[in-house]
Amino acid sequence: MTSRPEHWQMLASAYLMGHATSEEVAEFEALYASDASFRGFVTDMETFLAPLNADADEVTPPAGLLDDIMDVIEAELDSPKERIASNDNIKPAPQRPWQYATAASILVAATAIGLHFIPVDGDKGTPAQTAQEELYALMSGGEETPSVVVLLYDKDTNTISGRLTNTSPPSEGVWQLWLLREGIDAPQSLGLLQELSEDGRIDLNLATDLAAGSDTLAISVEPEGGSPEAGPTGPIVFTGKVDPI
Amino acid sequence: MQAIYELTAPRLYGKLLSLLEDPDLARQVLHTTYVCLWRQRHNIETSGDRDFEKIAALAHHCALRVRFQSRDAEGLASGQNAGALLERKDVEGVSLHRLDDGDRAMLKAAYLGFESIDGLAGQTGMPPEEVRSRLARLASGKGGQSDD
Repeated sequence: MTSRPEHWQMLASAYLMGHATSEEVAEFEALYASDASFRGFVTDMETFLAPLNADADEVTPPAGLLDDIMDVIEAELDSPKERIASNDNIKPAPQRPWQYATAASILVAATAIGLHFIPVDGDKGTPAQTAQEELYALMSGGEETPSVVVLLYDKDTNTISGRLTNTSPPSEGVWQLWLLREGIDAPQSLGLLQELSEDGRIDLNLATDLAAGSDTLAISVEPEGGSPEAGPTGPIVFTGKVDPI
Repeated sequence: MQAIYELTAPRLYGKLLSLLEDPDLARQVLHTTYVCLWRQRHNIETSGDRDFEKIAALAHHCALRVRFQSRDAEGLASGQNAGALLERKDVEGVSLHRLDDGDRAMLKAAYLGFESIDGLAGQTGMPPEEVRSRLARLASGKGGQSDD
């Protein structure tokens, strides 16, 4: 049995070096949130490791990135609400997981669509695929065995249909589907994904038209009945851009 | 902010490309890092030449968030804890220079490149569990020595 300091060493090292398992990540986060001495231990470790950053190779950042950053800053300077939030050091919680999850989804979108798309059967009341439909790929970032939800969108009936593969709904809480659209700051709820048939099908009628190119979808785990707030309150488990078939 | 960006962004972007191996993700994390830095500007305690290291650690947290896709981990980077990260003091008495070249190379590969345990084991000829333990001791500033 390992002593606590040795266990902390292993846990913090695994996390900071990026090779922690999901269980270790959960343990790290729980300890970090609840134990000030562990936070101090991690800070000391990071401080020790920090000089390694000087050895990183220099690469010119993408053109326009500084302008994008300054746009955000200037927008916040113009917003009294955001200015207060900034001074409190806390950005409104519902927006944060979404923004990061959106970034993370870009990495795996292209390959996951090809590997995990499962057509919806046409004989179960769902429309056959046509040029008017759009494909929605919602996926986690599991590196070894990605969990994937692929949804088809029918513009005519404004419905989403799809199946799950490598995953299942949460044992506690419900999945809630969210829309993030370019130009709109906050995620918009599209409804709860809880009508799961025996063969793993999900169907959902939408009140909002979706569009390829500007829309990204995400699924969060929320309390029964859905998020109590305007945005997601639980962890984002799937994200994916809306793309044409 | 522009001056800080111009001084630090190229090295941070290089680090993030190495960690995430994806230009789009690295761009997004770099964007988040500087926005977070700006939001935390009132809490930042400057310490001269170690300021870059603090910003780099912040970027590292953001990259870990993407790697692990955890909402709570994101909170480490841009929530209240980011202030503590940026305000931290130097630790006296420990230095990477005390590590031998092999240990420093292994630590650097893991921290700057997320090199896997198996990959490091293959490079060093050490069993994976020994690599994991050694990294933990090295990262704790113990120079590869056990706690016994």
